[in-house]
Amino acid sequence: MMSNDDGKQLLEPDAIPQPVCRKLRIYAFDPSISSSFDFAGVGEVTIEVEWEADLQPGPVGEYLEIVDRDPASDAFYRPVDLNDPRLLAQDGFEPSESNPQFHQQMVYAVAMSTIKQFEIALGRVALWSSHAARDKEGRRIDTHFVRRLRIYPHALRARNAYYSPDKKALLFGYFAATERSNASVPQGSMVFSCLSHDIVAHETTHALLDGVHPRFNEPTNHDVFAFHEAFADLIALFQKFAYPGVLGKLIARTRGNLLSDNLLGQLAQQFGQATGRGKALRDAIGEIDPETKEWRPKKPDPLALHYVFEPHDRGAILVAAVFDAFLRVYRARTADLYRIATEGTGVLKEGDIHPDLANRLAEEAQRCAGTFLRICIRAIDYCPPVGITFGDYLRAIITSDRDLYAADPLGYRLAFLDSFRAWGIYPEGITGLSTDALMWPTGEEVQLEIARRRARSASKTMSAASETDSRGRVKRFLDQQQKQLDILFAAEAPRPAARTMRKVAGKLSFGWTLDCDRLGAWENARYQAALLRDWLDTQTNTWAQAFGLVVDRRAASTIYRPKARADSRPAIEVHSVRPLLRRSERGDTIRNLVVEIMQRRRGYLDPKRQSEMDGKSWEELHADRTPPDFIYRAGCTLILDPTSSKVLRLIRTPGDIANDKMLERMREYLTEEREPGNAFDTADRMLREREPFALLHAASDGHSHG
Amino acid sequence: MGTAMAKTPRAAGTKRKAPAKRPPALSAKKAATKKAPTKAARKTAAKKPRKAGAKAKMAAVVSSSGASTPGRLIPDPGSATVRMYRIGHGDCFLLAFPPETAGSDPIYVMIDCGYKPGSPGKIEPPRTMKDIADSIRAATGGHIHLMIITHEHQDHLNGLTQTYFKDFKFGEVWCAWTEDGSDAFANMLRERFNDRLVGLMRARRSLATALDRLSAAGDRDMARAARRMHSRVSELLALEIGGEDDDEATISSFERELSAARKTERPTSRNKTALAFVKDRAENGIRCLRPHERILKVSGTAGVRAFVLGPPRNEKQLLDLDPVGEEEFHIAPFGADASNARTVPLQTSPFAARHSVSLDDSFFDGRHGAFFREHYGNGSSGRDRKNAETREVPDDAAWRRIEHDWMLSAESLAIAMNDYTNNTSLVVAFELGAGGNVLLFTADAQRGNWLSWDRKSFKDGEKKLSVKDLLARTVLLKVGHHGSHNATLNGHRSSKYPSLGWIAAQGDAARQFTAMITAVPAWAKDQPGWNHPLKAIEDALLDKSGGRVFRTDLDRKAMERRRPDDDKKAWKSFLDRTVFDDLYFDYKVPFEE
Repeated sequence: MMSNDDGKQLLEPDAIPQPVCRKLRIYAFDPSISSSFDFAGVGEVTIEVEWEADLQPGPVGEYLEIVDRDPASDAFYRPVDLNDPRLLAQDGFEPSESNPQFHQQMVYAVAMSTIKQFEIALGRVALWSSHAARDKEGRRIDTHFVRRLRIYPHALRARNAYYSPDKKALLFGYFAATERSNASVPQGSMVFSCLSHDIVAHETTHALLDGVHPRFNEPTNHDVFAFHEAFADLIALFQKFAYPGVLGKLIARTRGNLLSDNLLGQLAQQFGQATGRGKALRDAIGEIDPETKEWRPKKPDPLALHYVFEPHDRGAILVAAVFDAFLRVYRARTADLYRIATEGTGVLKEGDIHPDLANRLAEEAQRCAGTFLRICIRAIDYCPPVGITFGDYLRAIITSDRDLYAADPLGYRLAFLDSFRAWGIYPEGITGLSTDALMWPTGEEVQLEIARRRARSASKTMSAASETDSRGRVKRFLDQQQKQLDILFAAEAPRPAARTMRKVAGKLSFGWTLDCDRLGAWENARYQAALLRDWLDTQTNTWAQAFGLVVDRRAASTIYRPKARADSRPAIEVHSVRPLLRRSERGDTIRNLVVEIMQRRRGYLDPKRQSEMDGKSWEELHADRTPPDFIYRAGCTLILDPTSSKVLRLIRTPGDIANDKMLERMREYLTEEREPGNAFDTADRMLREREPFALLHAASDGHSHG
Repeated sequence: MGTAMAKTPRAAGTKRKAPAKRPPALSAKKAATKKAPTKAARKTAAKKPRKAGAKAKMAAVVSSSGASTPGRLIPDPGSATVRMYRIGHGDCFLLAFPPETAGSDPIYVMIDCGYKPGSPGKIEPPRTMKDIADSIRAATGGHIHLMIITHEHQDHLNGLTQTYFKDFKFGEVWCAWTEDGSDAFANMLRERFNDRLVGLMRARRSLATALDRLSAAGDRDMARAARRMHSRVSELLALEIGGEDDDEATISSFERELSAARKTERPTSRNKTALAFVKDRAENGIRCLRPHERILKVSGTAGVRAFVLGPPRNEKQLLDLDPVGEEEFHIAPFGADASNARTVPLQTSPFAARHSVSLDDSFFDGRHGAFFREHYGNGSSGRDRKNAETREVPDDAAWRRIEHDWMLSAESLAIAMNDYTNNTSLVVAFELGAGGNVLLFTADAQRGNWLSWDRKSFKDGEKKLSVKDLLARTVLLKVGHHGSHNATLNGHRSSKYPSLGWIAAQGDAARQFTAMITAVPAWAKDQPGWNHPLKAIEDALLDKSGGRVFRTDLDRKAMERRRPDDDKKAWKSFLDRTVFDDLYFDYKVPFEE
């Protein structure tokens, strides 16, 4: 069928070029919508998925392996072979509920689209979070590469679907509908969560986010799980809006005021309803006015963050804020079309609007959704490595966009600022919401501040020191720091023999792009992390301090130390070194590195116990095998530019690892009531949960958590 | 478990050889039929106070009443006495109200009578259901004027059987509207409940099979997880079925009845039997109560009125706290049809047979055997990486299999079912005279139930009486569901929903506020997932009440130890109103302060 011998193919004059994409049919919403008359013709779409020449039955490709085991039925479903010429010729199986092979095809197609959105936005291959090999006592002994995310389309007989960080797998459930679940689904018929576009995209996003930020699985404040949910919902929504054709067809057959941006909100909401989940979407964006019976967008409630704590409901606030920004931009982008259509009067003539106009509107919405999709995804590299808050995410969005596009002619950033302000999402410690105030600081800014502080304290002791002296001191200090960075970026592997890496890249560099082998990328990242750790470890300069790391030997002994070096400085863990490749407005490629650095500390729910443990010697703690009540983490994310040897952005957690106030805040969160009204249930229960998302998702249909 | 109640069947078997010192629960049945029960009862009851060292107090109660019968529970004029039986991990309350006409007998109201098997033995000294029943008989003379059944759970009604209450007279019986056979909505809910029960039995069976398989395969971690799930699901199932046996016996006997029954008739659970036992004896009829209807006068009392706050009529609120949804059990998720529970369920796939291969055959399947082996094999080679060169995980890594992930949903279904039943709790507030102090009995009401309380207000003649006002006057709270995490809502006086903040918000009530928690932590701590009572709730209550929190297993000394010692005067006045006995606490509540 297909020659695997590429070299031979190149020599052939009539060689057939490799296809760019594989066309596959899917349900755009879910089967219940597709079979309704209102949606005839739009319920099914054909999407283009990146061509994987070596796609095996399953399908099993480079990123995904669909294994269709159904334990409740004690059955395996035969894997689909998408490379079968008969399927290639007809864009895969026709959408069908009764054919499990179509189910496999659909989860593959949708999940691949989501993965590709991430790769395009971030400019690097996507990696799943690593598997921690553990010994019998549950201690991590090694880290292994997970090439493929596994998908089980029929894993459970339950109204649930979730990402399992433990198994690196998506588990989709199915259940029989009853009279209560949905009027459009006949009682007794099966509802498959793997056939809902949004659920598949949502779960895949969870897995992708976990690959970037494994620590976002740890609820250390009210926003962390809420962010995970909201982010997954947003990606699912914008991804579907961005499919060519879906919006156009829908708009073309909808009567009424097509120019009103309410239509988009309404459509987004219908999408949410179709999934049978997406409660966030359903309730976040708008509601039907009980009097006029017309849809209206939800009014922003700037105080909502103060009383909504249930993860989905809280996540809905973020979804609403981002969607609000989307509508603002869409409105601005279509203002000209509106003027043309109304000839400047602002009043639309009776009857249907011109189909060309409908198409143009759909196109704008689609393009706008694509941009928002990329903005949202790009921002995740600019988040702190642990304990994200909505405010942090806003800063990440603004900074990442500003770093890429200095100018903002269409007002994307302003739209974000306005709508986040309306929803009361403010980053902590920021007084005014302006682009400048929200930008994460650069390394130079932070160092300058340190230098000034030093100069100030020095000038106190040496009263004679003139101003020029102090200026000179600052300059010398900054030069010193720069030298240290130059060393880092020029560093050859310091002790390659000490590392177990096989493929050693010479120095800190990008190592992985969109085309490289993913295992190589993974190993490279590990190697670079080791390199960076060594650099930080041997440091006598203040970069560690600037990064918000604690290196003092005398620091509280509950802070973890490197293995078997009890008297040493607190351990510094470099978790991730990944390239970030983007195309700027001037058309040149920006290549940066994203680095995440963290430190760990033993946390105890009882403050007395905490201070008792803090006071113990490190050896005592090490010998004591009882695990702490929780782990407190702190650290930073760095955006590095190897070309100019600079720290472009420095994103620190609110407090460092020795900060008792932040530790106390986490303790408070873990022990406080989770949701007013459903009080006394503590987050520490969630923390212990092996499958955090299973619990979260199972509950999303009910009214609240058990 | 090794507790008095758990040993009961065995003790009954050995009884003839060596009679047990304290007659065990089941053997009491024979004793009760032969001997005149009242005599024996009086004897035990009379012995009690002496043992507890509360002789003086008891004598005082008796003498003040002037009643001739020792052990009778007689309230002081102008106050009610609430007796919380220390029955075990479960509820049993006896309320004595002064009669309307002076000189006649007090009016006795009983609320629930049940315990989790095993728990009564975990209190010092161990007690049996018979001890409790004898005490009730002595206290009331065997006449309960009003019997209230809050909801159908084992720990609220398994004591109500022929064995203990054969000779009792019941006046009126109150239960929630969910028991009303003429209520279509209630019938629909019951129907659905039965389906789920059957489904859950099946899930439990699957868990047992999985457990066997895992143990045989030597998979210790998973086996432990399966065992935990199994005992948890059993625990929750036993609550729904009821009876006095341990979980295993309860469920297996019910299973046998299920399989013996015809398709059309449903076997009755022990809970249903207990309910029927009481209903059949109701001399003055049964009332199925809806919330927020008219204010009920407790007949025969001097102005005691009852307000029904729950369960809500709204389905959504009943199912609130229902994390999975109600769909699952219509297809019996773990296979098979409901009529035949004895055979191991036949698993049926939702797809045509040509699509599927069973696990046993899959690895040797001609077309796809290699695929299944490579991607779902048991990782028998024990490799933890793909090859020595790389650190890649192998395709057939055992940790990626999902054979047992359904266990998680089995558990959440069981919890959902229990939460549902808890939410059908009849919640009654007794008002001691118009505008007087209020006693609030929340049974096991959970979130949805709580939130519905103030949906409407009551019509008191011309005036409106709000639930917020009732709660503000509440001086005694029966804490919901053994003090579990979701049965007491936290909040402030200004919260928009009924919460602990609303309760005893009025100055007088705040000074008197007292709480009762029916929990035996020594027993509950051995049950997976039973965090009863939740420390945060107990702390909040201790704080709110200045230490006046009764807990089933705590005697006076233990209670005093938990008291924040600030107000000695208040504590003394509390002690003056309280009788501590091995079997119960008596707490006197004046009609008005």
